[in-house]
Amino acid sequence: MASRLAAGLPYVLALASAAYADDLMPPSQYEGKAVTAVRFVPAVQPATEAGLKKLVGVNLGSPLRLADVRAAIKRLYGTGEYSNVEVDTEPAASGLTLIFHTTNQWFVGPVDARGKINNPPSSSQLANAARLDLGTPFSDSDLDTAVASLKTLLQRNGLYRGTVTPQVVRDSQHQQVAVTFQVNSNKRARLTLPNITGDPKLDPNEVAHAAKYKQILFFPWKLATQNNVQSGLDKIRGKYEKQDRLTADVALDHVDFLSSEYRVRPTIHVDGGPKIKLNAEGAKVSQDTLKTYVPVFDEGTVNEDLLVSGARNLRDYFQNKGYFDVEVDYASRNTSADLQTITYKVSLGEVHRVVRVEIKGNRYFTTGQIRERMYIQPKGFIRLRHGRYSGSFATRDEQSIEALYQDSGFRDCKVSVGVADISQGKKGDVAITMNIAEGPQYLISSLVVNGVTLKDKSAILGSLASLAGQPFSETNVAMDRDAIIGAYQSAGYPDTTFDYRTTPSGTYRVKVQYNITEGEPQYVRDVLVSGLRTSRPRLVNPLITLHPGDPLSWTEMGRMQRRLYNLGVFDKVDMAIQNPDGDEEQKYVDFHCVEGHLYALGIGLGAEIMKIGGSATTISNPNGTTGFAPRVDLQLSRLNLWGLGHSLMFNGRYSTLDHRAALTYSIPRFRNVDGRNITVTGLYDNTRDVLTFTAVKYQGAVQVTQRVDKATNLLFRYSWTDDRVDQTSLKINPLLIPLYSQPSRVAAFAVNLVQDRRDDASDAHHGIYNSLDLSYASHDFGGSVNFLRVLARNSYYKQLPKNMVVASNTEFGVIIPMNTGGIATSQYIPLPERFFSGGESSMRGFATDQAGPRDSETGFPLGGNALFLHSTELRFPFIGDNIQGVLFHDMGNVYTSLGAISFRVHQQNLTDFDYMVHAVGFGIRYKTPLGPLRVDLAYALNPPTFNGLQGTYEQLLFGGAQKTVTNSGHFQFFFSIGQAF
Amino acid sequence: MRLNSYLYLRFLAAALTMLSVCAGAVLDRVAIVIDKQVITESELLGDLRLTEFINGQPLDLGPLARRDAAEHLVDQELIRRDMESGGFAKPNAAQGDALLRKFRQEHYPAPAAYLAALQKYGVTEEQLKQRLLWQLTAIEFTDLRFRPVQQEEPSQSADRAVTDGAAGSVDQQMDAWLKQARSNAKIILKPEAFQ
Repeated sequence: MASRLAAGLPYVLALASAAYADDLMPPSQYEGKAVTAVRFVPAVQPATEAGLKKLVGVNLGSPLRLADVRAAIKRLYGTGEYSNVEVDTEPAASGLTLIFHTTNQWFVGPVDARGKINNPPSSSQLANAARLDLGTPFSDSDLDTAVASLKTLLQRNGLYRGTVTPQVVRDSQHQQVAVTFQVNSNKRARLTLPNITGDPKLDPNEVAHAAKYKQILFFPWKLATQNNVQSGLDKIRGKYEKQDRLTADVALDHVDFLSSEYRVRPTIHVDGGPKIKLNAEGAKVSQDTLKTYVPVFDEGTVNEDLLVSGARNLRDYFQNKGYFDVEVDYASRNTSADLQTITYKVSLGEVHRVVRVEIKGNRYFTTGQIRERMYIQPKGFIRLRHGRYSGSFATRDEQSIEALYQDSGFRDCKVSVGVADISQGKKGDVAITMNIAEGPQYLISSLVVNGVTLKDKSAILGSLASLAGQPFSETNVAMDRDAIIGAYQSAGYPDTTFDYRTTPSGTYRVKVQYNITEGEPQYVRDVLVSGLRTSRPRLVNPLITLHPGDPLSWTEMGRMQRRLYNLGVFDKVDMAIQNPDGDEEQKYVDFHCVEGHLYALGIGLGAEIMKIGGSATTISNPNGTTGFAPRVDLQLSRLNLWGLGHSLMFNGRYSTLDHRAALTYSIPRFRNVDGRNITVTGLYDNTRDVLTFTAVKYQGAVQVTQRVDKATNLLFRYSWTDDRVDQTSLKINPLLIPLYSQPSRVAAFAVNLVQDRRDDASDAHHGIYNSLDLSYASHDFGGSVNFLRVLARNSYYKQLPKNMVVASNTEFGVIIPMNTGGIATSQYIPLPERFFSGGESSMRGFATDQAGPRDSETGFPLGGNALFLHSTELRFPFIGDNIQGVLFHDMGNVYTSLGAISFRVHQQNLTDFDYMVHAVGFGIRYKTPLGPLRVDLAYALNPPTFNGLQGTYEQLLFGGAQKTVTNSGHFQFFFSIGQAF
Repeated sequence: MRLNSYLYLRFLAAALTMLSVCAGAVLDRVAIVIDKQVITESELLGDLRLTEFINGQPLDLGPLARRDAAEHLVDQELIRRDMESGGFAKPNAAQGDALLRKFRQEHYPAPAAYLAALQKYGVTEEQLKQRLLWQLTAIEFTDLRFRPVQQEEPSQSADRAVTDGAAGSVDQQMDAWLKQARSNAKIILKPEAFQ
């Protein structure tokens, strides 16, 4: 019997295993049995116990059903936290225990590429090539794809012997993997002469050489980088463009790696295409104009769209010249097998001038408000001599004015442009009339917002643009939608949806209903910051303002990202939510920071050309002569010191006028306060910035800045300065040299308040700029002189019609000597601490630093203890859109003392400099990315006349110089970058 | 001897049951993932049984058959998504009854054979009806969605003529679309469900 049982057992086991392996347990074996317990394997799960219970959805004691098991599997998988879920059972006393076997999902954490990386590609390009996006699900198979992508990128850059080894560090607590690709680029291959295939029309060898993969003379072939290969293609295209073969198709077919030579041979497919000849009939159009307006040259190809676009551009070009009725068409014909001729046929019609632009029918908006939105312009004196009108401008203006009205509830508004010939004596004069039929204004009779349950509902409703009694417009609804969705996203509701409906309610009244579907809120599980290699957590942690349990706010995440960038130590800050598509309520927030270089080096070369010459050995030119001073600047920075974001910067300058070295230590965000920065500076400066003397300055300063609000900054500074005037450089009365050449120490506390509300600091159109600088120097702080110094500035900008700007600038300064020890107040303040003025950014009636009191013997400027300057500018469009004209009036001077400030315009005698100098002038500004390039010509109406000497410096000291009377000149000319103020 | 045989058979039955339960036999598991959509192994097998029943194929739940079924399920899921995003009007439920009647008439005129076959394949009549209805829905939708654009007038533009020329059959269009849709979706077949 036992033997029969033993013989049958393998058969039983085989049957059982077959049933288990091939199929699931039949539902009939478990359906209806009571679930007495639910267990998870492993016991530690990503979700909380309550969360798991909700996800499983099976009540203990209830009968088990396959449908419930399926649903539980789907819900668990749907959280995104698992890569696999499997359910089985085990018998229990009075039913079954349901067992969920889960495998956690891994997510992509920080991805870096390190090792011996030969740029290009850079380490960040390599990391990006892995296409492992922060926070997304990760599987081991992704790694193989990533390695292949990195190798492809290396090979595209000629690094055929590059190796890539992935290293994965798993953080099971956060289900996150850190992937580091160890890259060894190895030697880069060089290019060789490419193969040319296709129908190049030119000699293939000539085309191959046009790629210029071989450098000139004995220099080797270029490295096989992606950029070099592409640059070769561009050069071949350029060759074809030069031959007017604009339709030439030049494309990289493939590259072959010649392993024996370690070279890369590109195969380039070229179809030369015919030569294209462009001309115009019916009007004189230069080839340059055709090249500007017909985009076939820019695009390097010829097609229907580009030719139509060219016709349109030429039409606008002629319409801007006053040919409003111009018609432009084109014809293309194959003149020969290798030549295609495109002819633009221009029918100019009569030349017109827009003498008047009228706006009719507007009641709700003023004419000014409408005009500032219009492209159509009447003729001007210098600019737009024919005015500006074209069919497309008219359509654009109609649309923009209709949109303006519709935004204010005028849903039926219609705008039409009428052109009337008003040639009375002058043929071709036209008047443009903008006819506006405003129609009725639709108002909101009531607004109902459904579905908002947030605590700050009233704040959300208070921010809406659509309110009862207000105009109804789609734009306002769109703004409201953005505001509501934004508020919800800030509160951690990522799936909130918004829709609205309107129903008529009486005459021109609309009932508006907003329906909000909030969706499920999400919360922060934790914030994970990676990539801090040098930086310390204490630099970053204070900026992490989201904490576990907080609403998952994209707005706040964006702010955190911005703050991290603003530290200035990271090149890149990636931000992501881990498991973004998962249904789970609590999410990890990932920040991956890529630190920037720790050292920065900058070298600059430049030159100053201004009235800085003519006084090195002579005393004959107190106003200076035009001189040239070349200079070299060097900046070396060590960034992110101690991993705390501090920096140490060396600035050096060497020029014929100026030797300077400064060392600055900066502590940004001191004690983690936004906008509070501390800088400690040590400075050596040997400058001949005023023709009168050369000074050597040693300065140490500590400065604390605090941003009060977006526009206002407060600065506190303590500085200690040792000023030494080189007595051999002083060009003043020899009797005064001992006094003025005495070394002085200035120890001062200063407070500086700056309020900047300009729209654009480099070229303001509206706004104000105020600054107040108050400093107090005293023996008590370690100095040798006592004085109080105040310098205030106000600049004001206002936009006028026709793109004009009126700008004014007022500066007032005073130095009040204190406890002078018997020295005359006019002589107490050391020369380098006095006010000097004049030049392109102050009073343009004087050359640089030439305003104010002068030495009674030599006529060289001595500076003063008070300053008053006022400038007014009218800035207006001059030529085209990039050249601006400026008319200006400057008035003011540097005065001996506060009491000497005077508005008097006449100089009383040759030693009177305490009067107001006026200057008028004209300037031109040319817009550049760095700011406007500036040329100013000023005419001083009442420049000072003063005593001077003709002779050498030796003659000044030992006698023999000839007395003269001179003046500072009526005309001044300035060339610089940036507006005057 | 008879008693011994009886005991032996009882032992076999008990052992089979015990083994299947005590071995912790799997009730269900994740089999296919299409983006966030999960198809469990029991759903996969159910679909396979239905397919083989309708096609009159022998019941085969082996790995190759499962893999084929999985590929079909993926296609169906992608089509279902496209259908739902486009607001396609589905056939009504009454059509399901008609389809079922027609199927029975064609394949199982005898009720007993029909019931026996249902039992053999482990499918219910309701599942069969729903499957037939889905097949009809899918055919109507794909025909509408991928039917080549017909030239209405011979004077249509050159662009349109190019479209028509490239249109091909419904199947070709659908295959091309499915290929594209598959490349845009993240599809995972869990090996455990295909052993």
